[in-house]
Amino acid sequence: MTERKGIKYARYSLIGVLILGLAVLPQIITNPYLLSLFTFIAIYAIVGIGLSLLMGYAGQISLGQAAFFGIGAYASGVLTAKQMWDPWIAMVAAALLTGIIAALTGGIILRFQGHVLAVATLALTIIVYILLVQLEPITGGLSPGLPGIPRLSILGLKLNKDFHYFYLSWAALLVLLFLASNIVHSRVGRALRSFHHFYGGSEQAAESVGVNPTLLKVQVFALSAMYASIAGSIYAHYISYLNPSPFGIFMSLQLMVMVILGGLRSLWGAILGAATVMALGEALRAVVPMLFPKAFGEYQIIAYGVIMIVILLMAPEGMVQIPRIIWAALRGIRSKESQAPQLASEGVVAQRAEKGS
Amino acid sequence: MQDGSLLEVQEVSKVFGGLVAVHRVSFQAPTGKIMAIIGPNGAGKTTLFNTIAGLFPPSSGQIWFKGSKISGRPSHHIASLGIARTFQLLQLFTNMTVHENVMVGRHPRSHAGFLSTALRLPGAVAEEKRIREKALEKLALVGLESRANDTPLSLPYGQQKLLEIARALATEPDLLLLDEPAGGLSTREIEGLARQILDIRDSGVTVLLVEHRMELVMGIADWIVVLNYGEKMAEGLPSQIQNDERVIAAYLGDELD
Repeated sequence: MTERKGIKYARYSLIGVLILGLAVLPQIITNPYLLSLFTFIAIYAIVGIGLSLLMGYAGQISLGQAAFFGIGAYASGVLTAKQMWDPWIAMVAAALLTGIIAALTGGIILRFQGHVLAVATLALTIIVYILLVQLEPITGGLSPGLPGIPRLSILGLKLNKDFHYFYLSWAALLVLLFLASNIVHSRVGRALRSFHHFYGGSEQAAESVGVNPTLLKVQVFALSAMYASIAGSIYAHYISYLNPSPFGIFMSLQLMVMVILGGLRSLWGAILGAATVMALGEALRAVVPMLFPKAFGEYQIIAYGVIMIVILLMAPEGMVQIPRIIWAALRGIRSKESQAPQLASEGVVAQRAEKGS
Repeated sequence: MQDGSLLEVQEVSKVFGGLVAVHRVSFQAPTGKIMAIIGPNGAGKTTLFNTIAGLFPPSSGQIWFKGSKISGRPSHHIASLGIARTFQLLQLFTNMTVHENVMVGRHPRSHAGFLSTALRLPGAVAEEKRIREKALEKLALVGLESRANDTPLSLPYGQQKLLEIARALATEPDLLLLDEPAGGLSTREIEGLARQILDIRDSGVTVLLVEHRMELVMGIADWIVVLNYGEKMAEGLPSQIQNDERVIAAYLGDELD
C-alpha cells in the first residue's frame, strides 16, 4: 500500500513539474519553429489519448483517426472561415458532428475485429480524404485549400502568437487527459477493459455481468473521434489554413505508431509517443546528415524505423514501461505478487491469459 | 408461468449444423432452490446452460424468467434482468485486480456513464464508492477480501472459482447459473463449495448448476434434471434420481454403488 501511495505522490509531483516546465518553456525556447513543434506534440497527443482509450482500454484498433482529425479541422475551418461562426461554438459543433459520424460508422464497422477492423477504419480515412479533396466548393480541395481561418480569442485576447497556441494546446491536452483518466478509473473504464480480449478481458464474461460491449465500443469510438476532432479544430485555428494532405493514411499510421510506441496501457503513453515521434523526426533530420553527409531523406526513415524497433524490443508495452524497467533494475529482483497486482490496477500492465472458449 | 418457478424452460431445442445437442427439453427451476442438471458427457448440459444464459438463442422453444421471455435476448440483457453465471473454463478479467473483477460485477446495478465519470460528478463519485464497498462485501462472502489487490492469476484454482462466484453475486442476481463449479476441485474444496452454494441459496438466490461430480450434486441439490443424448430422461428429488433404473443404467451406474 505504501508503494502505491508512493506511486501516487510520484505521479502528482510529476504532473506538477510538467505543468511548471510547460509554463516556463516559451520563455526558454525562443526559436518559433521549436515552439511550434511542442504545440504539434500536444495536438497529436490529444488524438493519441482518444486512440489509446479505444485501442489500449477497449481493445479496438483504428486507422481512422486521421479522418476524424480532418473532419474536426475542416468543420471548424468551414464554419468559421465561411459561415463566420464563433470559433469556440464551431469547435463544439465540430466535435459533436464528428462524434455522430463516428457513432454511425462505428455502429457498422465495429462488428469486425482485429485486422478486418483495421482495414475498415483505414477505408474510412481514405474516403474522408477523397471527400476533402473532391468537395471543392466546400473544402477548397487541394488548391486553393481552405484559407482565412480566423485565430481564436479568449475573453477579448486574440490568440495570434505561437506561444498562445502552445499554451492553448497543452492546456487542452491536460484537461482532456484528466477527463480520460477519470473515465479509465471508473465503472466505464472497467467495463471497457473487461472485454479487451488481447489483454485478459473476455467478451463473454463481460456480457455475463451485464456489460454491453457492442454499445460501449461504439461509444468509445465516438469519444476517440471527438478527441481527434478537438485536436483538428485547434490545428485549424493555429495554422489558419487547411489542405487535405495532412489528413491521409500516413497521418493515421503515424498516430498509431505514436500510441504504440508510447504505450497503450497508459494514457501518458500517448503524450510520450507523440513527443518521441516528433522529436525523433526532427533530431534525425539534424543528426543523420552530419554523420552521413551523403544520406538523403530515406536514410532518416531507416534510422527512425531502427530506433522504434529497438525501443519496442526493450519495452514491448511501450515507453511508459521504461521508468518501471529502470526502477525494477534498481530494486533488483522483486516478488511477483507485490508487483503485478499494483500494475494491473493502474491499468498499465496486464498479463496475457489463456482463455478457454 | 406457474407459481413458485423463477425460470421456465419450454420445449427448448438447440441444433448445431446437423447435430441436435438439445431436443425439446422442458423444466422449471423453483424459486429459492438449488437445481442441478446432470448427465453423461455430451448429454447437452452445457449447451442448455449456455442457451439459458443467452450465449446463443434456442433453435426452437422458449425460456421465461420472472414472467418475461428471455430466449433470443443478448446475454448482457439477460444478465441485467437478474441471471448471473460462472464459466466451466474460468473467464476472469486477468487485466484487473481481484477487487476490480468483482467491481465489474456491479455493472448492472450502477449507472454512471462517460460524461458523469469524466466530469467526476458527485453522483458518479458516490456510486464508485458504493461499488467499491459492495464488491468488497461480496469478496468477503467467499473469503477473498484479503486478496483484493492481488491479480486473479495469483490465486489458487479453487479460489479463482470462488472469485467468479463473487463476481456473479455482485450483480445481485435472482438466479445464479454455475457451470461445473466442482470441476478441478479437490474433495475438500468441494465440501467448502457445497457450503458456499447452500449459503447462497439461503440468502434467497435460486441456483441452477450443471455438474457431473455426484458428491456435490447429491449433497446439495433440491431437484435434479437428468439429460441423456440431448433429451430429458428424468427429473426428481436426489433420492428418486438415485433409485431411477434408467438413470442408473445410462449414467450413474457404479458411482452410486
